[in-house]
Amino acid sequence: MSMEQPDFHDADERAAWELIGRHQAIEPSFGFAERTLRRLHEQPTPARSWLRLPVLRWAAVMCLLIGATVGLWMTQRRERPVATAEPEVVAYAQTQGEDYLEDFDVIASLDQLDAGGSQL
Amino acid sequence: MIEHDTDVALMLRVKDGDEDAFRQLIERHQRVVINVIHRAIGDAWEAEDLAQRVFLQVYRSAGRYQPTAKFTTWLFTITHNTIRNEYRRRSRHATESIEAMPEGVELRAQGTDPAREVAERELQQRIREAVQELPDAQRTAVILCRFEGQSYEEIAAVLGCSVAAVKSLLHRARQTLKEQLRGLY
Repeated sequence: MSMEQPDFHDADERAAWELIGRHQAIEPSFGFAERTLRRLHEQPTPARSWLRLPVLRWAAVMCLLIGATVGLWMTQRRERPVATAEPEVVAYAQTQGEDYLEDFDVIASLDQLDAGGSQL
Repeated sequence: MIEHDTDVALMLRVKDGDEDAFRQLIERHQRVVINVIHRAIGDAWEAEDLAQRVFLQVYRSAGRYQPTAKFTTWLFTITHNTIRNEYRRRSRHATESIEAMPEGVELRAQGTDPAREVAERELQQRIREAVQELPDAQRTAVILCRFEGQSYEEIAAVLGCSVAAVKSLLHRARQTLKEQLRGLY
């Protein structure tokens, strides 16, 4: 055993260093290796999950959070009443695509006719 | 060097799930691991329990073991982390303070003089407390250097710092120990 020799600054430091060397070692109790092997068999080996990597664990948590946020937002959006605009605007929007709008030009022409009539 | 090679060879067998190789590794290193933990923690039974955890960790991490460094460096690194985790755990559970742990070690007979035996027991207690009160890195550096005769380079590898940092840690630890043990030397 190669023992490093520290650079002691004074005699007290050396004496304290030598004193702690008097701390006694203990011996392993009988059957330590067997007990360790038994414990190995008793404890199931933790699954080698990719989630054990800290970075991936954080990434998974962030994905879950983002997913939950998006889900919540989508749910709220779906539940929100459609008619938030003025009733007239909604009514107009609902008329889009209706057949009678094809007659709008006719109505506009009638206005022109009306305007022409007033000039008479 | 032969021992190092054998450790590596055993570890490579453990990597393949060879429990006999694992048993040989335990038998070869159990004494040193138990003593490193015992000097840091102070309780013999607890030291054995934690030493078992160290060896279980060795077995479970065998797949990641690379025979580039000495096996003992790897073993001491796991031991150091286990001790540090134990200190953290105990600091969270204030009722299980390190000082409150009972000492289960029976001192070897120092002769028939009871007064001398009591004095020796007290000395052992004081040394243990002084070492335990050191900060994590200083404590491990002192234990590996003073009791296990590890080189500065190996201690630096275990603690993940430079050799100069290890020398600094040991210097500060010696200063603290000098004050803590004043009157006993």
